[in-house]
Amino acid sequence: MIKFQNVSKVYGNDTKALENINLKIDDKEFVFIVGYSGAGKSTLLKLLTHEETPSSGKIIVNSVDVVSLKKKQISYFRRTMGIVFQDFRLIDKMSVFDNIAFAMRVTGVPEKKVKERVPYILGLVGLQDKGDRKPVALSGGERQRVGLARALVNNPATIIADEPTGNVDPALSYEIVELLNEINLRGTTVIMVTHEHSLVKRFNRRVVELHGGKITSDTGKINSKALIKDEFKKVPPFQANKRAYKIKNASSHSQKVEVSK
Amino acid sequence: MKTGSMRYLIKEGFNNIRGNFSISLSSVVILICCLFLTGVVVVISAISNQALRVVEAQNKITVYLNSDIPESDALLIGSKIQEISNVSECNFCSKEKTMEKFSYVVPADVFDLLEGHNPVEPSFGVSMKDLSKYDETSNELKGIEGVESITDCAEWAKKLTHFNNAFSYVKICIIVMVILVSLFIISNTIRVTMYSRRREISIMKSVGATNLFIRVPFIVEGIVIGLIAAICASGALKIAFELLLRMIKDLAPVVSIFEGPTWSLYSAFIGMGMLCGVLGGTFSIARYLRTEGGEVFG
Ligand SMILES: Nc1ncnc2c1ncn2[C@@H]1O[C@H](COP(=O)(O)OP(=O)(O)O)[C@@H](O)[C@H]1O
Ligand SMILES: [Mg+2]
Repeated sequence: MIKFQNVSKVYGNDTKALENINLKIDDKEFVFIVGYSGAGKSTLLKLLTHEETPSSGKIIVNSVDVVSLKKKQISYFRRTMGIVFQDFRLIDKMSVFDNIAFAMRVTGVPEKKVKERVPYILGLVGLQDKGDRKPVALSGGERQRVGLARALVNNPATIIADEPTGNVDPALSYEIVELLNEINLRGTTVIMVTHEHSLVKRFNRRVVELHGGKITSDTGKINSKALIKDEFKKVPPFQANKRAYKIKNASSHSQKVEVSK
Repeated sequence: MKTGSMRYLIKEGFNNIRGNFSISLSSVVILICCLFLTGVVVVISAISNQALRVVEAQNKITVYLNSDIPESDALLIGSKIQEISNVSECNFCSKEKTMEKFSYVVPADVFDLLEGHNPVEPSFGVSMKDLSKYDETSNELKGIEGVESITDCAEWAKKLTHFNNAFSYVKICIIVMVILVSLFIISNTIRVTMYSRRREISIMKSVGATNLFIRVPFIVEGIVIGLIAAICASGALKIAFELLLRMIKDLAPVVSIFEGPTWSLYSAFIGMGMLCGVLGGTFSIARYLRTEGGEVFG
């Protein structure tokens, strides 16, 4: 569970980025954070990843007090989160496979596990045939899927996506969110920041609106159990890889994502 | 740390060098020059120390007497010399003996020109107990009646001592400068690599790589650059010394007693190169991570 308690952030230049934020996000929730540019959305995420510290207030993630984390603990804390960037942040000289493997290698995962896990994640995002390609040979949508795969590969409890569709063709944006949606339905908390209200409207998910550093509206928690059926009726599961996914342990606390043919 | 991780990190260090080959190469070349310069200074200083010891070991002053002085008078002068408190030894060298010494080095036909006349002066080889009292003692020697002149190796010893003292300051300055330059060069090289890999670093931070994981490849890069430079500089110094020795050996056989670069110098090079690598790598990556490199979202 993620909890912001009376959190404010004032930057060095006296910019009040966030003011008295109170927000609670349950495990396995999907939350859109919307708001215009400068509303404080990115700041909220930076506080969550401990890139910035709040000027006042408390941030609790899974009963861990984020603000008081020691330097050495921060990297381990970040392994519980997968971050998706607006600009993809792929390494151009590495293949798609290596881009995803990179996240495992730099956290000390043995190569044997890397070789097992990466193809599986590639399949999950529908890029199983494109592992050898370089990012430049991919479309924007595909690149973001690589970014997503990299965020997922270490099996984080939470995916944090800052405008993941910002550099993606609007027609393909839907696909990215749909993929995030699926990942969420498999049991991963998803926090997605966006300013594209139209995109948000197409998904029946919780929406938190920020304006001038304050929360101006929050639809509150949306029952995702009911939603699972709905979603599957409305849109077929992500099928780019022509596989049917079975959601396992959707209601348990396990973070394992499993796929069957 | 697991050996698999260590292997990965070392490989990444080499990748850093490969990825920035021209910059790595130029910094290696600059470091070689720096270390070579240090080596030259250290070798010169070692040689001059050795030379001083050689001169000191035979710190003999030659006291020349008037050439027409009879041998009995000469021996009297010898006992006077012996009375000087700072004189430890005093050996008489007669005209004939001196001539005999010359005959080994001077061609025989030169002697024919002398027509049996012996122009050399009889002399005493005088050793002093304490070289620093050289001036007083030589004045006392000059004061003895019948002493024509004195020449000495001690003058050389004094010059060498002066040179050694002055040079040891120069040596320290050069070594300090070289260390600073090496640190600067290595940390700048690594900074360039870091900027070219800033995306990797930001991703590493975002996926929760430990600082050790982020740092080690850059430190490996520094060590490898330092090590390569140290090995090349050692080789270059050895070759340069051998060549120089071969060139001047014929002119002055005495140089062959001088010791050139030693293993301890090579080890010092390697130690210094690696140390500069570790420090340069650590400094620059720490600074980078404290500033712009600390960002995840950027
Ligand atoms: N590092 C920073 N230093 C100073 N001001 C900042 C910094 N980052 C963001 N801000 C300011 O804080 C406010 C919120 O920024 P941000 O969280 O990036 O908004 P959003 O992501 O919603 O566009 C903006 O006014 C922005 O200019
Ligand atoms: Mg933003």
